[in-house]
Amino acid sequence: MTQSIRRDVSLAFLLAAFGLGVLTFGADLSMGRIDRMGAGYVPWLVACGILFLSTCIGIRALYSWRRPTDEPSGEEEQPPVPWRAVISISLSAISFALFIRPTGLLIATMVMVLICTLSQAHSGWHARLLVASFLAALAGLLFPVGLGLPIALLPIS
Amino acid sequence: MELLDNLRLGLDVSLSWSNLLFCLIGTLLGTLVGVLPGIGPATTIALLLPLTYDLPMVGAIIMLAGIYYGAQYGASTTAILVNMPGESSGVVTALDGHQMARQGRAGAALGISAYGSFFAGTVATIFIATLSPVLSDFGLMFGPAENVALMTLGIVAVVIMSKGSIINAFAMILVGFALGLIGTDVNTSQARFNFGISELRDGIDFVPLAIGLFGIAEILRTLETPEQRDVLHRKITGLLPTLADLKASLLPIIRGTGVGSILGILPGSGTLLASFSAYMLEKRLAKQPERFGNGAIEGVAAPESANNAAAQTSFIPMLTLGIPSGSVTALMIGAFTIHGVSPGPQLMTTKPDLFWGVVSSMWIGNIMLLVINLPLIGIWVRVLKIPYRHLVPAIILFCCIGAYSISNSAFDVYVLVGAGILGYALSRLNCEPAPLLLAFILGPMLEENFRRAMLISHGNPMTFIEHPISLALLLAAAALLATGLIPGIRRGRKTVFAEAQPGD
Repeated sequence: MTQSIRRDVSLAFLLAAFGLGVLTFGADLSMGRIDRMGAGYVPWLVACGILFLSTCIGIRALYSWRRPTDEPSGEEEQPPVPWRAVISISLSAISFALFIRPTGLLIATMVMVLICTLSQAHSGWHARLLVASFLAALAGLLFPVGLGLPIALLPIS
Repeated sequence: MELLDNLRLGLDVSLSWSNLLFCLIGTLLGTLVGVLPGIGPATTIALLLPLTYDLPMVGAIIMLAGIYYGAQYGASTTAILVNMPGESSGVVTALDGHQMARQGRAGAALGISAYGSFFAGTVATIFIATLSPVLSDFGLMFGPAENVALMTLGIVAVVIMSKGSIINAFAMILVGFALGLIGTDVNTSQARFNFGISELRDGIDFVPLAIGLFGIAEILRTLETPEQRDVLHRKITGLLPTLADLKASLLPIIRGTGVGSILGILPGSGTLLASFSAYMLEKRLAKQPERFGNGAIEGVAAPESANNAAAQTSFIPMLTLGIPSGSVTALMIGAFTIHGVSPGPQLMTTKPDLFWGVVSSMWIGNIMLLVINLPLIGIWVRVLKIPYRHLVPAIILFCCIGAYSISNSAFDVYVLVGAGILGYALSRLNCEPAPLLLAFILGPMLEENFRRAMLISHGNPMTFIEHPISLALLLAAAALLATGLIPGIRRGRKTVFAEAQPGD
């Protein structure tokens, strides 16, 4: 199976799951009538639309699989997923969210930048700490002080 | 003449010291962002939105608008010098612009692109000033049925103009809709899709969603490929194009401006389509089309004028009718909402100083870009030499702080991460994030108007056809959809977007 067919199948499954989710979690909302729509009417319409499109995409994937066309679409070649970057960036942002309220901006920034720079294999710990400190200082000066945002710099004791 | 009065009011507003400063910051920031790959005007605007809470409204809008058309200037600089446009619209400029640079004519290319952009910016400002009152008056006649039809037309236009499959774009629209449903239903006060999380009672905040979908996803996309840049080490001499250059560029600039001004108004079309169309038009009209791709100055003049004109006229639907025409204008609507103003036909009459202030600031911004940018080119080139991976932690940090500072809530940062992963995953599956964000913003408005239309018409769906304006808009939407589905045009769309592949 070519890359583009695999992508279509994944997309179809994801959309179907999403549409079913909307239906499930919206089941207890009242539908009402068409001239007095309840909270659940439009969500139901949207969910049906998503499920319909998911089916269409599934059919499209099936069609491409049964009849491999010879036109090489530019969508085929995709570079590999940069997993290291994806994971380190996600974790760094999550750590920021975890640390910001308990420990304040400076520490949260340092932790965040340290985790984020884990994706750069060749930087040593010295360089990372330097960058983290620099960015923490920059953020501390720019946001709470310079722009007046009400973010605590240090842990609230 | 009313037009002159309006422009004078606008200039009164935009020529204040603080607004001039905002304009300057916006255009410089926009140029910087246009120079840097991997971060675009949409992301920057999304990042700055929370910070505009404390800024005066007019100044904030002027700054954000400056970022958008400033980015077009920045993108053309890198397109010409390094063949790596920082923005998609620069791709077309790079075709001939970089060739000119290789022939030692970088100065002429940069100069013509600046002058062309300035001319286009001036004309576009006049265009906006004359067209907007007409559209606004028209929009005031709209009732719920017409609003539904108009938004449908806007959605169809955005879908047609999206890269990739139309079905995928529609799916994105519906997903965006669904995400917009989260929160509390306005009419019945029932909680919808809250999962018991109290932060979701007012729905997902659109700022972290926007920053995640555009900023973080874009960073991840840029990190897919290791970077290679060959910065031109030759000194840039002579920013003045020769007289022959000017003569050859005059008509292309005028034509490019026309193409860009008109295409910019269409929802979804964006600057890339405008510059590409202008380029193809010049190529077709040229006496020696073989010159294109080898350093033809018309190939720089026309697209540059077109993309600047399009960037400015894309504000028209947003300012006059409250309909976003792309991700940038969708974010601008967010900026208005943050300050408690809803853009729409009544904006011009209820807040004329804001409206005309923003319109006239675009012209002033163009002057600033022309005067300030050409001397600063050396700095922009040096900025390009910073390896991207060093910028990533800083950008992520700004994203996190931006998301957090909206309501000092860590939940928004989680939304940011989720949106970033979602945006990246969708782009791997050949889906665009822009329709999703658009539908997220339009969804609640569309639902409210739809329900009201049904209420008024006692459940009669024919009401959309019985109202003449609504019928006309729906027919236009249907026609647009049909043209998008015709095989010949489908292949044409593929070509346009395939050409845009490098650096997009």
